[in-house]
Amino acid sequence: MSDFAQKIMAKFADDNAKFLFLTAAFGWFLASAAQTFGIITNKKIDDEDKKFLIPQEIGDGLVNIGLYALITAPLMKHTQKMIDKGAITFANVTKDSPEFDRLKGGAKVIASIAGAVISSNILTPIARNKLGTIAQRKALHQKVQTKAPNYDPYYQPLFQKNMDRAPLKMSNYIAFTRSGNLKI
Amino acid sequence: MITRIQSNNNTVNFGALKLNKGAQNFLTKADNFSSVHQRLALGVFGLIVQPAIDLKNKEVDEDTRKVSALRSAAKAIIGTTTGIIVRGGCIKAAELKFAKRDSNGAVLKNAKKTVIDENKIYKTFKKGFDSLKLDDKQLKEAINRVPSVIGTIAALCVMIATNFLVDAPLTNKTMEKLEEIMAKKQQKESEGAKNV
Repeated sequence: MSDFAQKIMAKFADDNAKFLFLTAAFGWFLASAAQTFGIITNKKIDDEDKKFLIPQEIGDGLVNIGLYALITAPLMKHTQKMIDKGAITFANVTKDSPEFDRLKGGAKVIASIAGAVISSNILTPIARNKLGTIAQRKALHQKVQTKAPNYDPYYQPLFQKNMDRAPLKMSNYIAFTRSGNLKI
Repeated sequence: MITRIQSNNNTVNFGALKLNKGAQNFLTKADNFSSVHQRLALGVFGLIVQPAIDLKNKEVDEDTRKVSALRSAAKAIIGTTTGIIVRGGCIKAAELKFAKRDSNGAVLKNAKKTVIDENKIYKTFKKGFDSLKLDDKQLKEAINRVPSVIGTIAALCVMIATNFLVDAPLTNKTMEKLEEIMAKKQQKESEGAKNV
């Protein structure tokens, strides 16, 4: 095994909190990619829901990893600092004892999990819902603009809203005359 | 769980938080938490909190809100289940790879836990461990965490496939089932209201 691989493995094994922090971020990237792929390929979700769910999923992944790093890294650092400076102390454990390092490591692991829970379970869903709504509104706005009727003698422009450029046949004409949108 | 120290002139830790024995035992265990514990904590909180947040999202209509909440619940259930199974399985496989064996090749166990061959791990990653300059106790702990590290990294590779092949389709299937249950429930409620 290469020196680099050995060093990485030993570092990860020594600093469990940092290892869990990094692997969680990478895991979320993979999960988000899979979920987005799942929505895109799911024929049972209608297009209107997809317009909300796809940006929600992509936003979820980006915001999740961003917020996770933004909250968890400082939380872990501050936990470590508080223990080093004596703002958090342990009963019958001095700084020189081997137990101290284990407790500090454990506190960092808890900080990393707490940061993940706060960022990915609370802040990310709120942020992604906001982003998803903005994206959905944008998509709907674009749809309205592209649906603007163009003059075409072979097509009835008023049908475009519901029938996607259906040619003007008799059945369509009957539907046209019954249409609630008909304003003459 | 946490007892606040009374400040006085004789203590260095003025106004510090002193953790009691119970909290310390928990932190000692937490130092060896694996990605399985991490995934479990995230999954449980996710299942409780995320659908509630989706249902309170007033920016979208009620149907989209329900679809979104159902999807979050389905994601939490499926993601946590497959995540724990894949991580747990890969960590177990890594433990077996570095397990101590008897003369017949059978894995040695102590209180149902696989006994790790620490020397084998140390020899495999010697240059890495030597570069860290750890004391004996720290080295022993780091060595014992190696199967968890290898298992978690392997699990991430496996999950590239399972996310696409298991998570995504299962989430969709679960969501469809949940929607069916919701629709049936609503139908029953509306029928009940008509009968009244």
